[in-house]
Amino acid sequence: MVTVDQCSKAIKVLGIAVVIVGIFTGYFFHKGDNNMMFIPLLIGFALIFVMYYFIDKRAELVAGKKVDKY
Amino acid sequence: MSIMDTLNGEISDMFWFVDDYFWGISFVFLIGLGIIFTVKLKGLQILKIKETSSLALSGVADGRKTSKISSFEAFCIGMGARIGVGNIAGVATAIMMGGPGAVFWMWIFAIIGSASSFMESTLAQIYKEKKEDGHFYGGPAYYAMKGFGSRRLGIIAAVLLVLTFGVGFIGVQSCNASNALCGAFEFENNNLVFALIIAGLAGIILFKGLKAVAKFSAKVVPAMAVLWVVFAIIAMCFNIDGVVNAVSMIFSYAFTVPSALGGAVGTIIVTGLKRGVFSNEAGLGSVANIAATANVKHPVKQGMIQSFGVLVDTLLVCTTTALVVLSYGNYSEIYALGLKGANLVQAITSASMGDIANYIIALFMFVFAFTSLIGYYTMSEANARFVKDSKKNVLAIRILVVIVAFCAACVTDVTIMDAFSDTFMAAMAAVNMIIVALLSRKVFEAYADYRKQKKAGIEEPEFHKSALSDATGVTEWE
Repeated sequence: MVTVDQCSKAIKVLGIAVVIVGIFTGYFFHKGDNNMMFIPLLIGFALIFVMYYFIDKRAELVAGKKVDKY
Repeated sequence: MSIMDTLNGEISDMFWFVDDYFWGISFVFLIGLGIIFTVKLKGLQILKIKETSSLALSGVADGRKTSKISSFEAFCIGMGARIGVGNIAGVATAIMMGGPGAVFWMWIFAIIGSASSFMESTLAQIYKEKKEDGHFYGGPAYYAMKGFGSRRLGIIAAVLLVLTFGVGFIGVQSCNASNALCGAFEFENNNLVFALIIAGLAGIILFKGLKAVAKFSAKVVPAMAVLWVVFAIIAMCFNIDGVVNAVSMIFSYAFTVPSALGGAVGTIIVTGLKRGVFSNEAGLGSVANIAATANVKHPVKQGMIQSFGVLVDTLLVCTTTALVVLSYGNYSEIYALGLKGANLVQAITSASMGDIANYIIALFMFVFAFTSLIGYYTMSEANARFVKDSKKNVLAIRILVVIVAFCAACVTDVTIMDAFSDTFMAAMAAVNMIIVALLSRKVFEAYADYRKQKKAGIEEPEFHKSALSDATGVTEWE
């Protein structure tokens, strides 16, 4: 069971990782190697999805419940 | 070397260098989070389009009764900001730089971005604040400060927004409009004359106050967008045989780079993203400033309205421009014209409609740029008042906008303005999307409350901050 603190740490680490991966994406785009650009880009998407899981989880732990269904 | 040569050469090179890296970061946040929001909202921007469109067109009469800005007026000001030179010149540039397939990616990113627009606009409404003048103010600066209790973060967002829109975007709009007018009306010092007209008209409207801005946009924007679509359809009729080919090219070049261009598929996708975001502004936090000003009973209403605005901007207005350009012939024929931006659209339309098309396009560019300028001023003023709510600050922003509009309209090469605005647009997108993601639970709680009330048969749901599990920082919605 994750805690709020663990979620916060994970969000920070993953956020920094996304920025680094984004810089690599920009690097390949700047070099003109547009196909290579997709490798860090897809890694970045995966990291974002994981980061958002922790954002959602932290909010749920703080509120004490999930968001009502809609 | 003249000052202009230095500006357009070395300084713009520096901005383009930084721009590539900023966009690398922004791309990940904009698209990654946009996909997440689309999934969490169950594709509301498409599946609930009937509801979002009818909400956007409601409240037409409300603004006339009160001094407050109605939902429809906020929609129109938002559209006025969105529908700009990007819908004409930007689309043409996207086609020239990325091929017809760039339009396909503009559509994809508009659909994804529409969810982001819902999120930021709803958040802006949740955290809006009423000032002494009786109007509501909000946007990234407000939701950053009130959501996190950090005024510093709010000030960063506010300053970034003023640089991006008050300087960058206004500069691009003014410069493109002036260039199009100069292309159509040639006489000595025409750029100076048009710069004076653009800046002078802007000054008159800006100094009359926010309500006057809203009323002006509410009248002009709907007519402007409809007229452009009508004109584009007429232009297409002159090349009716090419329209089917145009649609076919958009899909067939979505994953294939035209031989005339060279390069890789990534160019098509990034071009589509950049031009799409420049046009519909989804995820930039800009239109959230305008969404916050609306007087609505539930924050989700503005979220839905602004998400619809993104689709109107790109799927309707940009698409009609794209079809006008692409119906001219095969891509190699279009590329061989060697033109870009509004000049390309003018050349293609005047080839079939005669020289009058040049003047019509120039006037559309002027009106589009002008209403965008008004919208960007609205945002800049709101953010200046956030930093310090004083008459001096408001006056300073009005003067800044008029000066930027004038100077940019005098410039003949839009390169430096493009470089500046692109760089800050990327930074703004990344910062805003991170803030929205961290505060996203509030939006989902508000949406759940809205749906619950609708299911209970309440026609006009009303929001109270007790619907949120944590209403810290929410000052309205008692």
